[in-house]
Amino acid sequence: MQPPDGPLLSIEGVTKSFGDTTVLREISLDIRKGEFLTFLGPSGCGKTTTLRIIAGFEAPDCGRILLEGQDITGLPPYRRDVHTVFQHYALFPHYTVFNNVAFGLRIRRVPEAEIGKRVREALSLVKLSGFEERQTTQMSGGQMQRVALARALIGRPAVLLLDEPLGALDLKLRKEMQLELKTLQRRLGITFVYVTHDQEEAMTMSDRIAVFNKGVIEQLGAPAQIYERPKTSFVADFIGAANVFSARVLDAQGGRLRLRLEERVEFELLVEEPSAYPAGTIFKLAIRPERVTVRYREDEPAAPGALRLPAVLAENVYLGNASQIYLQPFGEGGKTLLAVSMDSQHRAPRAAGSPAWADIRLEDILMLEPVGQWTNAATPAETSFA
Amino acid sequence: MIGRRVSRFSALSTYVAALYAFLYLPLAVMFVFSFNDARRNVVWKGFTLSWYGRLFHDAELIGALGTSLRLALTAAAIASVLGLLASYAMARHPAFKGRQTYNALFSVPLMMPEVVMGVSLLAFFVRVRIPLDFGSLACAHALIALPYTISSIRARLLSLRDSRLEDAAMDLGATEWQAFRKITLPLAWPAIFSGALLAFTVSFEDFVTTFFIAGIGIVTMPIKVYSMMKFGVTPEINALACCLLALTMLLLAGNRLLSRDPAAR
Repeated sequence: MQPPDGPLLSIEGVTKSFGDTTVLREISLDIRKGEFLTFLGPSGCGKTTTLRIIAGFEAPDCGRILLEGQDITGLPPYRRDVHTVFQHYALFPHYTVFNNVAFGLRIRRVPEAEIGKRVREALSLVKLSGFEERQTTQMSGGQMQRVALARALIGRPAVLLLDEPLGALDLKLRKEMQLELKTLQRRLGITFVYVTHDQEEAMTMSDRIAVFNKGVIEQLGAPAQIYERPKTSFVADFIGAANVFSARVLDAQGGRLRLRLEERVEFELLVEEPSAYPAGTIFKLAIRPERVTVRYREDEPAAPGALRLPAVLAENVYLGNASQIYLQPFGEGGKTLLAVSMDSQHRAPRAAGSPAWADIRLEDILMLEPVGQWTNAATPAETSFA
Repeated sequence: MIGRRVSRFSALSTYVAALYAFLYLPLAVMFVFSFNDARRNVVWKGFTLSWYGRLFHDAELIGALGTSLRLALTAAAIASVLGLLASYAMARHPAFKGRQTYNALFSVPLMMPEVVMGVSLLAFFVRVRIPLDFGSLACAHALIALPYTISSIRARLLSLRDSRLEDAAMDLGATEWQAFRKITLPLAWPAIFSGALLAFTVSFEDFVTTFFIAGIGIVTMPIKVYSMMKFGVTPEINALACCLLALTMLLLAGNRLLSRDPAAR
C-alpha cells in the first residue's frame, strides 16, 4: 500500500494520440488529497483529454493512472471512484432533478429512504432545495450546473473532475460560481481537478495550476508561483500579460550574468544557477507590465539597482482603473514595452514621440527558456548600435 | 401598381392551383368515384356506400389485408431491431475504420432499382434453397425498410452521444448496458417508433419486390389490388384505394408527430 502522505492520484508518463495527432506527450503529475488542482491551457492543449483519461472515457497509449496507489488504467468509468461534472452538464432530460441527482445511488442500490435524505442534502449543498420535482429542461444554465454538481458530489467520490463547468455561463454568474465552488471544495475536502482555458478562473480557485501547452505540462505550481516565476514564455504570456524579449548571455561570472537585451542594452543580473546560462546562448525573458515604472523626466530617481531604459512614448491608453503605456525602448521597428500603471500622472494624454524612461527592478526580470545560440551574422544591430 | 401586383399574384396562384390539381386531382377523382353507384367508372350515376360495404365482405380481400398487416408488423419489428443495433454501433464508435462504407452500405437498398432487388433476392433464395414463404418475404421487406429505420434512429443516437449522456451515466457507476437501458433507450424511443412506422408503411405498400418473391398462396394487399385490376378499374378498387390512402396518411402523421424534437414539445 501507499504511504499515508503519498499522492491521491498519479498520472505516470501518459501519452495519447488520435490518429496522427499526438495530444499528450508523457504527462506525469501527482495530485494531492484535498487540493484544488486546475489544468489550464488553450483549446487543443490536451487538458480535457487528460481529464477524460482519468475518468476512464479514453485509454492512454502508454502510461498509468494510479488512484490511492491502485492502478486504475484499465478500469471502465463505472468502476472508478471519480465523478465528472461535464461541460454541457449532460443532465438526463427525461428525469426530474431528484432522479438526476439520485441516479448514482440508485445504480448502487442504496435504500430509497437513504437516497431521499442524501438527495435533499446534496441539493441544499448547491442551494437548490425545493427543486426536487423540477424538470431539468426548464432550468437556467446556472441551475443546471448546480444539479450536475449535486449529481456528481452525492456519491462522495475520491476525486471530482470538472470539465470547464462554467464555460456556458455569463460572466457575472461565472464569478459567483467560482467563489461558491471554491468554498464548497474547502468545506467538503474533496479533491477537485478542474479544467479551464480561463487564466483568471484558474488563479481565483486553484491551490495549484498545471499549465498545459501542446500536450505537455509546461509548469506546475501555486498560482502566485506561476505568475511570479514563470518558467517559459508560454506560461508568462498565457497567465497575465507579459513583455517577452530576448537576451544574449555575454558572460557569466560568480552568479552574475552580463546580458544584452534585444541586442541593444547591456545589463547585469544576479541568478541562482549561473551554470544554466552559458555565454553565447540567447534566452527569452519576461517583464510584467505592472512592474514597469514610466518616467517622463530623466532626473526622477530610479529605485536602487533598477534598470533604466530610455524610450519613446508610442501610445498612452487610459482605461479608467489603470493606464496602458506603450513605449519603444529599442528604437523604431523594435519591440514595444507595455507598462500598466494606476498612477494619476498617466491620465492626461501625452503626445506620441515624447521621451520617456522605463525603470525595471532587476528582480522583476524573469529569465525564461533558451531559444538558440548567438551567431555574429544574425545580428547586424550589434555593430550599428553604439 | 396595385393592378399589376394583383395580376402577378393571380398568375402565381393559378400556377400553384394547377400544380396542386396535377398532384391531387387523380386522388380526388378516385375518391369521388368510390361513391359512384355504377359498375363502370365513366359517368356519375348517384351516391352509394355499397362499394365500401362490399370491401368488408370480400373474404379474399380481408385475407390479403391480414397478410399485409402481419407482414408489415414483422418486417417493421425486424428492421427496427437491426436499425437500432446498426445505429448504436455508428454512434458509439464514431471513428472506426471503414465507417463511411459501413454507413453508405445501409442506404444501398434505398437507391437500388426494386426490380434488381426483387430478382436478386429471388435468385438468392432459390440458390440457397430458402423456401419462398412468409418468413423469407418478411426478411426481404425488412431489408427494404432498414434504411428508413436507420436514418431515423441514427440521427437521434448521434445527438444523444454528443450530449454525453451515456458517459455521464457510466461516470456515475452505470455499466454500458445500464446506461443504454436507462438513458439511451428511453430517449431514443420516439425515434425508434417513428422509424418503425415508416418501415411499416414501406412494407405495407411494397409491390415489386413482393411480386417477385412471394410464393404461392401469399397474397398481400398490393398484389390483390393488382390482380383485381386485370378486370378493369371498378369502384370497389377505388374504395379500397381510399382506405389504403387513409391508413398511409395516418401512419405518416404519426411519424411526423414522433420525429419532432422532444425539446420543442
